[in-house]
Amino acid sequence: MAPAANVLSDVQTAPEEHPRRSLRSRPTGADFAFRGVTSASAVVVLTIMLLVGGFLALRATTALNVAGFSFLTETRWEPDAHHFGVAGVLTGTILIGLVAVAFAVPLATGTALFISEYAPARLQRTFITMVDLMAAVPSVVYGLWGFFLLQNKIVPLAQWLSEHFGWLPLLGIDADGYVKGSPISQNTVFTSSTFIAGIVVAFMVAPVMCAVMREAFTQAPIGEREGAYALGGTKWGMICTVVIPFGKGGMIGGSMLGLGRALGETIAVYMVLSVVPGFQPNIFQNGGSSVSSLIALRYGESTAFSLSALFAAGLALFAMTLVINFAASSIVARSRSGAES
Amino acid sequence: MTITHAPSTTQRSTTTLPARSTSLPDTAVARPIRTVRRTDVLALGGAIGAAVATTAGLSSLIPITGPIATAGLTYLLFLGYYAVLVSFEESPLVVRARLASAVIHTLALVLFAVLLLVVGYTLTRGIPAMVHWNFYTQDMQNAGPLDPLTQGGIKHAVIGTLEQITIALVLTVPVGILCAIFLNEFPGRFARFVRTIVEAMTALPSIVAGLFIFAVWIVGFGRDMQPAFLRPILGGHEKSGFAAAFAISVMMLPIIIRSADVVLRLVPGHLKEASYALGTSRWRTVWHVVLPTTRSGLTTAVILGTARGIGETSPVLLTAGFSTAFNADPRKGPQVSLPLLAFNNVKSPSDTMITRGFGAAAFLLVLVLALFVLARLIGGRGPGQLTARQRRRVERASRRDVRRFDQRSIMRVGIAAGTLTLFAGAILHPVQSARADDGYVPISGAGSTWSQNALDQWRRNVTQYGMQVNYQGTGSSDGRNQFKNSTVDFAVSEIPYGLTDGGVKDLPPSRKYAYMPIVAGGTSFMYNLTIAGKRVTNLRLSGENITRIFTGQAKSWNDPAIQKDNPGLVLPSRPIVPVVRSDGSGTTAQLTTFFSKRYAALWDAYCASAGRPTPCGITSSYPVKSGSGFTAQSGSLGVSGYVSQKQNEGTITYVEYSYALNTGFPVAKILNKKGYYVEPTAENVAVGLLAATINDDASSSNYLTQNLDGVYDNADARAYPLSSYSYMVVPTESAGSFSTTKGKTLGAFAYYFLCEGQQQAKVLGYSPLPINLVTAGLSQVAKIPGVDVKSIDIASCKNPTFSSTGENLLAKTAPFPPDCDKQGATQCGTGTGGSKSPTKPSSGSKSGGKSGSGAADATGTTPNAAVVAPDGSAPPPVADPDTGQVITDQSDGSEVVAATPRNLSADYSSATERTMMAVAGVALMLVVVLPPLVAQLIRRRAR
Repeated sequence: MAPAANVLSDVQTAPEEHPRRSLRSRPTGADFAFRGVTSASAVVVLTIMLLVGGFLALRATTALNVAGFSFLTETRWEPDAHHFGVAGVLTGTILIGLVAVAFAVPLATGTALFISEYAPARLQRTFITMVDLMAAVPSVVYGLWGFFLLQNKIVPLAQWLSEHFGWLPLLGIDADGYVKGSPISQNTVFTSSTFIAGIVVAFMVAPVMCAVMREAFTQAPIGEREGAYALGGTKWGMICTVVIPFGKGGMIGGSMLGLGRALGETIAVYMVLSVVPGFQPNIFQNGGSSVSSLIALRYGESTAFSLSALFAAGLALFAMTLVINFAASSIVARSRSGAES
Repeated sequence: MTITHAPSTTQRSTTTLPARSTSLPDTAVARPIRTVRRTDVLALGGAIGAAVATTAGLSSLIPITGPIATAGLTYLLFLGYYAVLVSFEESPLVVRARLASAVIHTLALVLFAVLLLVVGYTLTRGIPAMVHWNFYTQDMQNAGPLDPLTQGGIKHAVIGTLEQITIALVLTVPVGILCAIFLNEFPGRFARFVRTIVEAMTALPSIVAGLFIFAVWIVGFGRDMQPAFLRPILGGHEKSGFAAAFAISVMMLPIIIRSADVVLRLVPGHLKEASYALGTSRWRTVWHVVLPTTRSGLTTAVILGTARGIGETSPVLLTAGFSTAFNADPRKGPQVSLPLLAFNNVKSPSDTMITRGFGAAAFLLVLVLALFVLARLIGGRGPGQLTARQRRRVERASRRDVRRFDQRSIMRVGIAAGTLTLFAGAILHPVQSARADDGYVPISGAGSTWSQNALDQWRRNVTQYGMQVNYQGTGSSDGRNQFKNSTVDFAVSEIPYGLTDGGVKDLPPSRKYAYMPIVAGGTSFMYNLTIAGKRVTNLRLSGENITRIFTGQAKSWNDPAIQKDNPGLVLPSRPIVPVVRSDGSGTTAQLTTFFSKRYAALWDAYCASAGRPTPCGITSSYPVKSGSGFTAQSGSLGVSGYVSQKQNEGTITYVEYSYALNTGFPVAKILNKKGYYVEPTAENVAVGLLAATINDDASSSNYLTQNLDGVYDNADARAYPLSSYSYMVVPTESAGSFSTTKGKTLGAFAYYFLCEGQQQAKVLGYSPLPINLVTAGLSQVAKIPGVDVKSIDIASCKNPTFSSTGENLLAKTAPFPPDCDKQGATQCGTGTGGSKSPTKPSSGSKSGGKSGSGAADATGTTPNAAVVAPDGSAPPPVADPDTGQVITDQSDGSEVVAATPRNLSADYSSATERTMMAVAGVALMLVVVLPPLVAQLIRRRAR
């Protein structure tokens, strides 16, 4: 280090007649073109996205003008009667998203760590392709599978959880004629619930999350991994101290991508969930709602005004994800892998 | 490491090297780092064994319901045991690592198991279709719901999927990746803004992408506000492969950008800095450092986008159109894709169509698998992961000139551009769409899902005459709206224009139109109810009770009014769970027409409590109150599937008769004016509709709409009161895209289905239209411009309900209901709908034993067992209206023994029992854990 320091100091004490060299690089023509092309594509993307957003907003104005501020507080969804608001459907959407994320994030993190750290190298490619394939299963198949096969298996679990933890918020049952523990009244109360829809959605979004997380985990610097081992760390210790801190940006990015799909998932949700627009915060109870499934269910039989109300709901969902993503991206920006770019 | 010191057993200070042994491996061989010791295996196996054993033991003590609870308990126990066993040998740090490893493996296992289950489910349902070669070589033009799987295929959908996803990828990949590069290379306020918007767009409901393209590209939303140069571009396009690809692109773009953004951020800064330090320009750094480093990640990004785009139905639902014919030209005409085909077919009541739908989904998975493997082969390898040959090639390449390097990059661009051009040329090459002979042109329609099965079969039948009819069941109101927007040639709907639904009037279109009845059916009520463990198949209900059930007035099956309808049954005190449609549907409209006409007070009171304005009138989306015990499911498949699930006892839904037949469930017999409880068989519905009248007043706004009052009050003993039919809305002037050639096709098609097509109505689960409706329909057909009027003749009409002389065959041949179906003290035991097994109102030796034990089990609960003795009048043997078989076993009315089954899971309420159980559990755990613990102690002491 010492000679290097000497060289540096020599440079600093160099003759002063030379003007300070500018450190700013002079971009070449190719660089200008490069910047132009990439910015142009960004502008194109932004235009398309804003057009979609603007389209939503424009179509929503009729309904929003009628509803005013009650749009945010009203829980009912009867647009033709002018009683409509997102307090119910948006809550339902968030609950489905939360259940989905609660199941999908551990699953995706585990699978991503398994593929990048534990799986034999020969099989890694196979596993990656399998996870990708899972992301491409048509949503109608997930819907049918969840409705006809998964639901029966989940109902006893939901019942058990609700009977034992029903005193917690969101986990109780508040249905007409439901008596806790009564053997005849509870067979259908636990079906078609937010919980079951959320689990089905979790399986749909887990592959997406997993793919993004895996990409982040495999990029963890090899030198640091070896350093952790050399200090006597176990594999889990290495993962905790190197891989996960490095991949935190990817984990959050992947989770948010998955959450985005969970919030926007349409067909699988409406095939499983008993869509009843309204405020229904009990996740184990039959009935729930989500913005996108409401749009898909109702657009075909809507009048112009109720269609406008549906667009307003879509706009509300858009605004909400904008806020969530804003929060998440500020976290990603602080994480290590995010900060390095 | 190469020299191993022998143990110093001697006093000499010299070092001896051991003799090189040939039998032992050379010590120079790298030691395997991943050592699996015997204790590890034992700990793992032991923990699994112990956990399974404990669960098995516990399950006899405490009630564990369902496989998931069992698996969860076993797993938790396993983790506990494993931790204990490992801790005997290792430090806490290693214990933690082992546990983490176990958990991670399990999580991956769960995900892969789910994948296998989902793929396995698709395959098992789709294999019957996939084994036929024609499934891949034909389109669906020659296959309807009644055709076997050896006819028809998915060729048109495969080509549609491939073309649409290719166009979408060509549009989105360059733009998406360039945008992601911009976000990473030129950070700033603008980049942050773009990123935030794009990220929020990933949650865009996929249906909105479809609606956006539909409104902007197809309908031309806001044309008056558009600048002049945009007007020819936007709007006025037909539904096509391109429109679908645009919708998919809108949905894929944010996903590709976002996942590419995540991986681009991971490029180590020092790599880029090294490149800059060499004096490389920015774009070269991106091209030679950033992109190669993230190649695998970018492939993942594209794959994720493709996965979403290729499997999603909702964006193409509105934009692709629906067609059964092969169409390789994405610019013109409807082009169906695999997920759309699957989505459309699984909603069908026909088994073969459902199988084809699953086959399409399964084939999509195969296709996707092939595409992804290919993508990984091309771009999957991470930076620096090279095969030996590639490494040699890289070495050779690195010796080459910089000039050569530049040339190559130019060449590569050239090749890529050439390929693209060729490819674009190939896919854009105009393919002549199949023009039919006889001057018929393809026509398309949309609307009612209720009528879709019939239209599917009819459009398949008329292909032999050279007609191509495309129909998509997107919902009645959507059909009417599309007809209003002139995006379809005809619409099918249960509700006419001009009705006020929920306080808003649906304005009729400006083009001239007419209504024409197309297919009839009865709203049937499928239910799942058991008494003493035996399925009830002979439930009877009056119209009022139906209304009370579906308005939440009747809450329990043993409601006195319902019990009065069913003197031969002892109904349980189980709650009634009405299952209604969550989507807008014609079935709901038909049911609510009945409610609003006959029981307006009940209906309006219910509507008002659900927040709807009154009078409620006809509505296609059923109002549901949250938490009221109702369940809403989408589609006929959803409601019938829900009711038919074994554990969903006490449910009742309104659905097409054919779904009840297919799922093997009974339907309720409904009381008619004459005092008979009748089943919605094809004949009974047709007889009922003989009393339907059509508004003939041309000045009325409801001109030609149905008036079903006569049907509800039809005094024929056979008439099913909840009978109705759906309309086709046809244009009566040629305007816009509707030409006289299209009119000719539509007219010929209409004549076909009003006459000959009605012969298949019964097999398809509908009822044939009776003579009064056919006559009215034919007079409307004559108004279609361009129709060949000469061929429209009622005398040559081959409708099964009347003869060529106009004689009403139906009124003669339809069977009368048996006397036991008359209102009163008797009740037929014969099965209904899809469940023909009779409900024996007797205490025969078989059922007597069963119900007896059921009653014994039910001790401690409400004693519901009862004995009812209906009068033993034995009506004469009658023929089953559907099969024509003589029913004999209905007259053994002796006595009814029934009990309500109660699930009596063991009751562990008392404190002592709980304590005992806890003690037992602890004891069991000790039995499992103690032996190894003791062994460990002994071993340590021995050391």
